Amino acid sequence: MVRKFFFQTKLSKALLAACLLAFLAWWSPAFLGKSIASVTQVFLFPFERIFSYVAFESRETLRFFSSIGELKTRNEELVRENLDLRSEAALLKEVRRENEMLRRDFDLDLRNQYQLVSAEVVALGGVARGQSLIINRGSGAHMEVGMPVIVGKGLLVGRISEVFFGSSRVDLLSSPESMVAVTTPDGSAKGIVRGEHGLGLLFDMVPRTDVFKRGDTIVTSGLGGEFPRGLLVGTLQDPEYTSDKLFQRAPVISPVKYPDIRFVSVIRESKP
Amino acid sequence: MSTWIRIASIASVVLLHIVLMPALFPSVSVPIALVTTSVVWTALLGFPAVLPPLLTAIIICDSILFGSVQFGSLYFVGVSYSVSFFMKRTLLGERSGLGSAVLAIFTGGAVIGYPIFAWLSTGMPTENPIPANMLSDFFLAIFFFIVLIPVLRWFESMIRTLRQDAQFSIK
Repeated sequence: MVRKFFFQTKLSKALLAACLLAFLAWWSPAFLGKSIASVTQVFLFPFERIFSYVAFESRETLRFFSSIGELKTRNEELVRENLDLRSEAALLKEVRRENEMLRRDFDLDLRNQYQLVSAEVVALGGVARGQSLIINRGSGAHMEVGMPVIVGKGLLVGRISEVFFGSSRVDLLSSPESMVAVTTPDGSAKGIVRGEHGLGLLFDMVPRTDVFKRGDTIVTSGLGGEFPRGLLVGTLQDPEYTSDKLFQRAPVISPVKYPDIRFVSVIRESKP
Repeated sequence: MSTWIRIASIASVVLLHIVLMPALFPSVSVPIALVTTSVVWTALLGFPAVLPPLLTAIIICDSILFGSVQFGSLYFVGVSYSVSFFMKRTLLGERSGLGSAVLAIFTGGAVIGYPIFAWLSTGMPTENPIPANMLSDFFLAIFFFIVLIPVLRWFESMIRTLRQDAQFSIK
C-alpha cells in the first residue's frame, strides 16, 4: 500500500482552502472585493435583472394565491385607511401651502427639494436579507457612497455603501453599521436609530427627559448632514429605559418590509 | 468551450444565491443555495476537484453581498469535505438511489447546522432558532437538492463531453 504524505490528502486540501478563506475574511481587502464585485456585476447584470424580475413576479403570484381568502377583509381595511389618509392629506396640503408661503415671506429655501434617481433592486443580502440591497444604478448613473436611499416620496431605507460600475450596494437601516440621527416630528424626543444585526431597528440614546410614546413616528433630524431632514423612518413601539437608566429606547417598525422592496429612489442632491 | 460552461455553472449558482433565493424566500437567512451546491458539486466532482468552482462561487457571492469574504463561508468547505468523507467511507456514491436520499437529508442537516456555525464564527445571531423555521429550511434544502442535482449534472456532463471531444479530435 502506497503511503500518502499529509499534503497529498484531501484533509490537507480542505485545510488549505479553509485557511485561504479565513485569511481573506481576516484581511478583508476592500479593493479586492470591490474589483471582483464590479467585474462580475458587469457580466451578471443582464441576468440579474431577468432573474430578479422572474423571482419577484413568481413570489407576488404565489402570495396572491395564498392570500386570496383574506382579500375581502384586507380590502375593507384599506378602503377605511384610504379615507382617513385622504382627509389627512387634504389637511396637510393646506398646511404645506401655508408653510411654503411663510417660508417665501421669510426668505427661507423650500424644504424637501430632492433630485431623485429611481433604481430597481436586483439582489438582497445579509442576515435574513435585512442588511443590504443591490440596486441597478452605479457610477455610470453618478451614484456616490453615502447617498440616501428612499422608498416612495420619503421613507428612508438606507444609504449607498459601495458603488460599482453598473450597480451599488445599499446598507439598510437595519444593518449593524447603520446609525441615523432622528427625531419625532414635533421635536419632543431626539436620538439615533441603529440597526440590530439586520433583525430590526432601535430608537436609542434618547435622553430621559424626552417624551415619546408607542405609535409616534420618527423622521430624520438632519443632524450631521448625511440625510436631509424630515425623511420618515418608522413607527415607535413601547419605550423602555436602558440598563444604566440614563437613556430611553424603543424598537422601531418600518412601514415597509425590506425584503419586499423592489423599486427605490436615490437622493442625489437635496436642499436642507 | 468547457471553461465557458464551467463559468456558466458558477454564474448560475451565484445568481441563484444572490438573486433568486432572496427574492423567492426573503425570510430564509441560511445560504441554502450555497450549502446545497457544495453537497451536489462534491457528489458530482469529488472533493479536490470541487474546490476551484466552489471557492470561486463563494468569493464572488461574498464580494457582491458583503464586500469581502465572510468567516461563515468556511462552512461550505467543511460541508464539502464532510460529504466526500462520508461518501468514500460508506460507498454512497455507488448506490445512486439510496445515496441521493442520504445526501438530500445530509443537505437538510447541513442547512440546520449553519446558524450555529455562523454564530460561533461571527458571534452574531442569524435568526431565532425556531423549530418551525429550522424544519422549513430543512425541507427547502431537500427541495433545492432535488432541483439542483439534474441542473448541475447537466453542466458537468456537457463539460465531460466537450473535454473528451477535445481529447480525441483528430486534426
